[in-house]
Formats: sequence, structure tokens, C-alpha cells
Amino acid sequence: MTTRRPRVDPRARGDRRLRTALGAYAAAAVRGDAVDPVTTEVVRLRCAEHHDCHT
Amino acid sequence: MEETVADPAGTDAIIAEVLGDRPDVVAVLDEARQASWAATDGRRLELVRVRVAQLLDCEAEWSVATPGIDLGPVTAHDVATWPTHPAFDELDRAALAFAEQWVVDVAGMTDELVAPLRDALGDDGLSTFTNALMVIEQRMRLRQTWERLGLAGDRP
Repeated sequence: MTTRRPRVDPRARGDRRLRTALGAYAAAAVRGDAVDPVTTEVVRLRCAEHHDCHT
Repeated sequence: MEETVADPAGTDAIIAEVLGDRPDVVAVLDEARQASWAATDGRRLELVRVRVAQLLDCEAEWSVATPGIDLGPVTAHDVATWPTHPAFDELDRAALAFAEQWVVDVAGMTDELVAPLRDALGDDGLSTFTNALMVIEQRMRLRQTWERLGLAGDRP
């Protein structure tokens, strides 16, 4: 199994305005109710796998 | 008043059309796009935008230039041939290689692809560049998905 190491300093935050906008987008998406919760979760898990996101 | 970067490709209009019942989402997507241009090197983000559009076969995006961003004599064809074209410096190439891997297989991103960008931009700069890349790529994927579903644009 490959050892995963951070590629950027975990304290790095990047541009604040852009980070804030993306946070607002994520929050707006979560608030949406056009897609049922089960489908939403299946898509979330599939995206996480595709992006190799273990969190 | 801060200048805004126009969208000649019309992707903003498509987003507004399809998400007409979610003006809150439209607004934050627009803000993310504006923030992406404001926070990054415009020339480099434009190179990446064109290359991402080419890989996604999004002609509406790669065939137009972002107003106010000067690529000089560099054409879209030049961008497609970046590995050997002399118009690009090392950081351009690092950004384009990173973007290509991002689009094709983000899970396959290697330390070797990340390191040159991190060394040049710093950790915060790389974080910002990555966020901006995500914004421009996602807009195109949304557009193309909606067009193929017949929800927007002319393509069935």
C-alpha cells in the first residue's frame, strides 16, 4: 500500500476570497433538495473514490 | 470598484439558465470564477483554461480568449502542443502538465507533477491555483453535461 504524504503544508489555505466562495458553493449544494439523499450519498462516495479522497 | 472578468464563451449564461431556480448557487459560482481570476496569474490560468477545454472537447471555451488576458502570439493550437512548443516556460509547462493530469485522472497525480508548481508558487499559491483550476474545469463539465442532456445550449 502506498504511503500518502501531504503535498502541501496542511496549514496552507490559499486565497481567502476564493476559498470563501468555494465554501459557499459547497454549502449551497448541500442545502439543495432536488436529489434524494441516497442518490446524493452514492454520488458523493463515487466522487471521493475517483478523487482518491480518503477523508 | 474591482473589475470583473467577462465570459465570452457564454458558460455563465448557461449556468444561470439551468440553475435559474437556484440564484444562490449561480451567485457563488460566479463569485468563485471572479475570485479565481483575481487570485491567480491571468496568463497562466488562461493557458490552463484553454488546455482543459481542449481535453474536454469544449470548443465554446477553447475557441475564445478571456478578455483582458494577453497570451501574446500564443494560439490555442500552440497550447495543445505545449510539451514541445517554445512559447512556454518551465512554470507554464508545470501548470499545463498538472492540469492535464487533473482532467484525465486526478487520482493519478504524482509528487513529480506537484513539486515544480509548489516550489514556484508556494503552498498557499498551489492551493489557490488548484482551487482556480477546479473552478474553471467544473464550469466546463457542468456546461457539457447539461448540453448533452439537452438542458442547455444547441447540442442535443
